[in-house]
Amino acid sequence: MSAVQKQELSLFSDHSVLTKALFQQNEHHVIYVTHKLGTSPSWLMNALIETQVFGSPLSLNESHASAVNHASSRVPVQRSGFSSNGRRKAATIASWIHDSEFFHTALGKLKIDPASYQIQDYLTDFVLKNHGKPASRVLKSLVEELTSTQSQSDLLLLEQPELLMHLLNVSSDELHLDFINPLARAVPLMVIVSYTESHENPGAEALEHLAHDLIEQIRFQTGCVFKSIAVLGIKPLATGRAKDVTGTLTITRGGAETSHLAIDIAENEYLFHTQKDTTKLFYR
Amino acid sequence: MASSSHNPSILLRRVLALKENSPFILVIDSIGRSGHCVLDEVAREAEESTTIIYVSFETVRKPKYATHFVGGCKSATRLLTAIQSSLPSPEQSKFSASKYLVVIDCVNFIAASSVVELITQLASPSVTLLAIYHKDLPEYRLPELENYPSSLQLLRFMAPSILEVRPFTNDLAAEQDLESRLQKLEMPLGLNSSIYKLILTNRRKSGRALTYTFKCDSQVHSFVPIQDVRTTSDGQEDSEMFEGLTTFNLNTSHKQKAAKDQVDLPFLEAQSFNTGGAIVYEFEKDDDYDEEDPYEDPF
Repeated sequence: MSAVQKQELSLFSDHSVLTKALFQQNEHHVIYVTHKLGTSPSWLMNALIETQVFGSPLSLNESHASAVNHASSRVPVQRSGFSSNGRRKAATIASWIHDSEFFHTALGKLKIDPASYQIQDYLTDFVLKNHGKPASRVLKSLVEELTSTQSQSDLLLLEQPELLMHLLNVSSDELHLDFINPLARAVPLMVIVSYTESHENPGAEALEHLAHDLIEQIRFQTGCVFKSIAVLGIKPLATGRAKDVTGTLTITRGGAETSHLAIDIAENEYLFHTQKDTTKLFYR
Repeated sequence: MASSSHNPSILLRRVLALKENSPFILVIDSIGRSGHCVLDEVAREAEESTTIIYVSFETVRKPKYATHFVGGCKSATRLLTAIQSSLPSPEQSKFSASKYLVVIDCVNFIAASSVVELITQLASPSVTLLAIYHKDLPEYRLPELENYPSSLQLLRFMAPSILEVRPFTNDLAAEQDLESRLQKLEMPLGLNSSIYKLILTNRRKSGRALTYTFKCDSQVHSFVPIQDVRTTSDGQEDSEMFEGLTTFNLNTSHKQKAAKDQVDLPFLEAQSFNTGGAIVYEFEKDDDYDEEDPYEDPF
């Protein structure tokens, strides 16, 4: 592919990835990222963290060579309350499928200072630590942990929180009311990342009987769409495999109201190609 | 299809302005077009003095139009207590002229077993309940309650006015294609846009249901009824029918038709009476009123 076709990522109509309007006082928003088998969302999560730290997703927008050249000169943008000594972080990542080492390695390659982000590792020892405790207490302690002053940041990324339904044996409604809602009301921007392979929703009017677990899974993921201002869907090519394309990224409006924001979601569909550690976006 | 004796847009505006006698308005939406656009229209059309109590199960930030913002909870009893603390007591509401609107942004969170009780407790002549139901959220039903109606069936049965919001599609094939994609949570571009389709079902006191489909634009707040092809062609035939029949002009011009459609017919007003079969009569200055009129309205 020629360099001409390469695209820069923008989620909002002001050509920004994370617009400043989202971080105004008393503003709270949710963005939902869905991905399928064979298309990992790690590059997109990294790009969002990079945007929060440097102001734009440099590694995604730049060519590989220039990214390497400019890596040493990257300067974090100054945000209110953010300082390099770690008092207030640019982002907090909570993952139920990756450990902290995974993120440190990936973000280290992007030259992001570990002091500018916080990782809550809920993969290692989560079951051992919480075995036998009532689910409501575990959810409450998780919310406290993620909203405590130590880890408070403007961007909170939750990677596959739907696993909590199975880990704690709670329903989708309980997870939304006791975990997602309090977090979303505490941070300016929350990004929920979910795995939606085999999601097949027959709807409330369908007569077919689904397994209880499946219903809860569908309810959680559909509920996240209604809460979000934007849905970023990553999926493989519908036509099969291609040498120069890994999949598509679709940016659409979510179910939440955005009329109070001065800017709109920049709906778009990109092709992306992941090679080794770099991902590039192209015109659809 | 309902009768064409009045303008569907007027009926819709009356429902949105809470002027219709429907204490419970059900909004059915999907991930293709969420029902928040209807809430915005209701907040815009309703009288300024209306107190809006917003019960949030999924809304993260308090909307501008909400007077009170109540966080949703799993227990219907606790929720009811929280809502009722912002509402006047039944005694107070008798003397109060102001209207109250309770908005539930996702009624799916309330279990089917308690949803009926919650609605009957809240909806009253002075309090209108507006609840959004997401038809994309499947519901788990206990095997022993297999033959009991689902929440959606119960809500549809109870609501005098139902507003169904859908993404605007050009034809049936496009609608089916969109639905099959949304089932897999693959969101195509153009969803939740300002232009959407709204299906209004309004039940009259007689039990007759009127159903109209509108093409709505939330930016300019327009509601254009979508008429089927058959109705439109009938209208054209009518105008040709009168031509050359008499020396009088029996046709109506477009301007006259538009003016006629804007008239708020008395039967809309009659729906708000407590007794059936009432006659709406407005006394004019030249009318001769006879006290012993044998044909007087017995009510």
